[in-house]
Amino acid sequence: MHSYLNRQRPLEILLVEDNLGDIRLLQEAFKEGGSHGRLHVVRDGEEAMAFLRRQGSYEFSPRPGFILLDLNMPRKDGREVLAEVKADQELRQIPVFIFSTSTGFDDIANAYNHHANCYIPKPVDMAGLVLMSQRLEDFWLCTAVLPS
Amino acid sequence: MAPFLQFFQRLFDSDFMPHGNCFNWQPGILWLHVISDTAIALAYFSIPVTLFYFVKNRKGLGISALVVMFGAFITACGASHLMAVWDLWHSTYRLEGLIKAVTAGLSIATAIATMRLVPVARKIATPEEMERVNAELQAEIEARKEAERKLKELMARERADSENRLRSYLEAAAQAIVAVSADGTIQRVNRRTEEMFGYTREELLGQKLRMLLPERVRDIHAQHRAGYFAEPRIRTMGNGMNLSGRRKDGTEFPVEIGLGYTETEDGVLALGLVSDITERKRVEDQLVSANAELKAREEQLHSYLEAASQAIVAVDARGRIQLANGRTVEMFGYTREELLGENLEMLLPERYRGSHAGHRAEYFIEPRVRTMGIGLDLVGRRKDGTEFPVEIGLGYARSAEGMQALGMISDATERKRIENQLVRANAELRVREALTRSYLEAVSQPIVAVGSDGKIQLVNRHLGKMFGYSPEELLGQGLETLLPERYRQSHMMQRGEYFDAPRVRAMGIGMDLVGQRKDGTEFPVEIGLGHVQTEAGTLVLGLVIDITERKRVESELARVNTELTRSNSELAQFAYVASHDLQEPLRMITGYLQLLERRYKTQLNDEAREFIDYAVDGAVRMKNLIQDLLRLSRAGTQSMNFREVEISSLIEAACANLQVALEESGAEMTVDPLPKLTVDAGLLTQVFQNLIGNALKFRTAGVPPHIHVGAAEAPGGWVFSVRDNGIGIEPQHYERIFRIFERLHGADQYGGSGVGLAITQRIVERHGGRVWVESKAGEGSTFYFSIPARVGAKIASTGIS
Repeated sequence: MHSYLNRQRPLEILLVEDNLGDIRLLQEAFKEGGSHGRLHVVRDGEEAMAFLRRQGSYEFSPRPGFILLDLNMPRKDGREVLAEVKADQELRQIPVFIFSTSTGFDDIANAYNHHANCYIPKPVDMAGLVLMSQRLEDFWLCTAVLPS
Repeated sequence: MAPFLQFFQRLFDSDFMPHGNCFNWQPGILWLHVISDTAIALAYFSIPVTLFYFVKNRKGLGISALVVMFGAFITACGASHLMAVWDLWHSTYRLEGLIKAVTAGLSIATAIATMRLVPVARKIATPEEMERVNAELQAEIEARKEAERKLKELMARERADSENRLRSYLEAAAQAIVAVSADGTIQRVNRRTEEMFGYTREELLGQKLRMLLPERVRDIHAQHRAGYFAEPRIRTMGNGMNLSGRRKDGTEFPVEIGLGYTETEDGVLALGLVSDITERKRVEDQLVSANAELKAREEQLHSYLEAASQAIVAVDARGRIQLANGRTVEMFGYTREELLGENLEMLLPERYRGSHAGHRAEYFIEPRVRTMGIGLDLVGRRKDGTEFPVEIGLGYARSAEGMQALGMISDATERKRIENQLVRANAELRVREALTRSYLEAVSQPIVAVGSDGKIQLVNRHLGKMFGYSPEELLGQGLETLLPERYRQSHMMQRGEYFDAPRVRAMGIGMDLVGQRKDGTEFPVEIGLGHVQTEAGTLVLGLVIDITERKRVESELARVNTELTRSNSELAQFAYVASHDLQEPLRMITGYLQLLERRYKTQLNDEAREFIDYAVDGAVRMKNLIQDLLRLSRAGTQSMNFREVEISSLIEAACANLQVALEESGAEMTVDPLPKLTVDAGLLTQVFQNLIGNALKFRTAGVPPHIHVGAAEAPGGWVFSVRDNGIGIEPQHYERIFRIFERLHGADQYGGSGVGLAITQRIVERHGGRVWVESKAGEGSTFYFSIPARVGAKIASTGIS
């Protein structure tokens, strides 16, 4: 199952999420699922952009393999981050996964219209969360190929 | 015996002795007497003879009474002497006596006459006197001779004068006059001759006539001239021939020549009176061409006649048809041959013929171009006896054959028909007009009618009341009286435009119209415009509605609507908040409870695990509830996406979603043939899913569910049904079940949030249909819903969003 265990560099994952409870649950789920990724967490859109553009305290942040992006956040929300990333020559190759409680038709359509790479409703229970983390890594690391 | 005869008989009685007896018949004396008396008698008788001879041969003497008397007296004397001889042997003394008596009478009368002549005889001139008289007479004769000579002189002068006059007449004549002698020499010419032929008189006189003729006719002319001199008379030359003269310059010209002659000392002269008829010829030629033109015109006229759409008939004074054009033949059905020369009245019905002949005669007395029988219905009669209305124009033409009357006949059948229609329509119109007036008052809406001058022609009671006037106050006023001052100017202009192209419409669409009452207050109005054509021109009708109340309601509605929109968007906002913000804490609760269970499984006892289970179960139910609520919200607010779909495909999708439940329950499903409809496929799939899901959920325990999906076409659309054999519903609950969160059963008995049917109802209503249920408790339920056909954009847009 984990045929790429001996990667030299670990998978960098950027999680943009304001809710501490959700952050912790996701970290636990990735841990339980046996993820090899390194989860970087920022708490809002502005921080996310700073991280991606290596600004301020994020001068040495790595370029993430993909971004898990919540929609509803203070200051700059996930919709704006998505638009900015996809409008940026440098960043648009990074896959962006919208990760939201909302299953609203408008939110989903809007995300794909702005070139989100996929839309993942937040699983309700722990088991679902673990399964999601495993499948996500499995698909994006083992099935698909990310830009280097 | 008559006394007269007796007298004569007695004259010749000789009852006496003869006279010879007196001489005793002695021859000496007897013969002396006889010879003497006889000589005397003869001498006597010679005297009157001589006298008469003298008188006869002496001129200037008539046989006067005296000569006769003297002759008779002498003759009577001679006779008495002869009687004396006779009586010597015959004793007729009575006769002798009578002769002596006559002689005596004559002698006495002559003696008396002679005596009466004595004074006359005394006046007879003497020879001296005669000499004197003779000398006087001689002088008189001389004087007479002198007078005679003078007279002769006078007459000669007179003759010369008249000759001069004649010459000047000749000179003045319009004709050229040429006198020619028998040898063809020109003897005399007049001035006109010089002008006409271009020669001077000197060039002509003594020359030959042939110089005035074209060469080609000179020889023949000489022959004719000889003929003329043989038998001269006054006549025209070359009768019926074209004669030509020849001018000095060689040009020729047409002439006409009259011939005459005169006898002079030099013999007979022929006179030629020559007229230049160039001008007359020209006029003649013109006449000829005019005539040809006339003929062409006539032909043209004829073709016009034939082309005329009217029947044209010409009749003479006796009423006989002289001319009939083709249209006449068509109109009356007679051939032209049947018509020509026949009486005009054949074209009339029998009953009019008598009076028509009279009118016709009158027309010929005073013909003029006019219409026949104005105000009368004229009728023609075809050959087959049928009659038809006609219209006739009359005219006339004068020609050599006399006057002809012309009738121009139109078949008025069609016109009559239209006329009748018009009359009917007119009558109808009058009735309508009367009705209109009564309608106007009966109509509860205020109405005003305005003429093109903008003056109010008509108002009803209601309009007066609306504006606070009496109808009488408004009539004749300008319409602008009813408008606030600030609109009057523009309204007058717009009114003019409307009159140019009136049509039925609402006035001032999209504008707020305002009326002004007599007291100056204003109020909003709505005005419908129409127009009618009347004899007085176009009337524009305005139907005025006071929309004060409507305006109030409208603005109230707008306010409520705004409020609704606001509360609706709040609700939509709430739905989103519910979907997101409410779910997050729930997920947190669930997630951490489960994390607790996983990590500390070994440290927890059964009781603790049971508690965690309940907590998680509650959180999950709450999450379902929230999601159902969200679905309900979306069913009402989500924008509709109509397209044409096979309803059967929606059923398939619904069944696919319910696959697990269908298989577990062992349900049997039947489906009617289903139509193709324009619907929101996603939403309608939910409807079927909810209804089929319910049928499965509320099944009778131990009985395999049987579900039938039906479809029936209904007026305006389709009615679908989902029938089951489940537990059924009491009739008192039929309405409750569609309310949100309404449940007839405990959650532990039949799961669910109580939102499904509410969602179903909302979706169906958004399609313009409705949903209802028929059921019998314990036997099953049938849910029906209707979907109108051709649900279009209208319904989509009326959805609250």
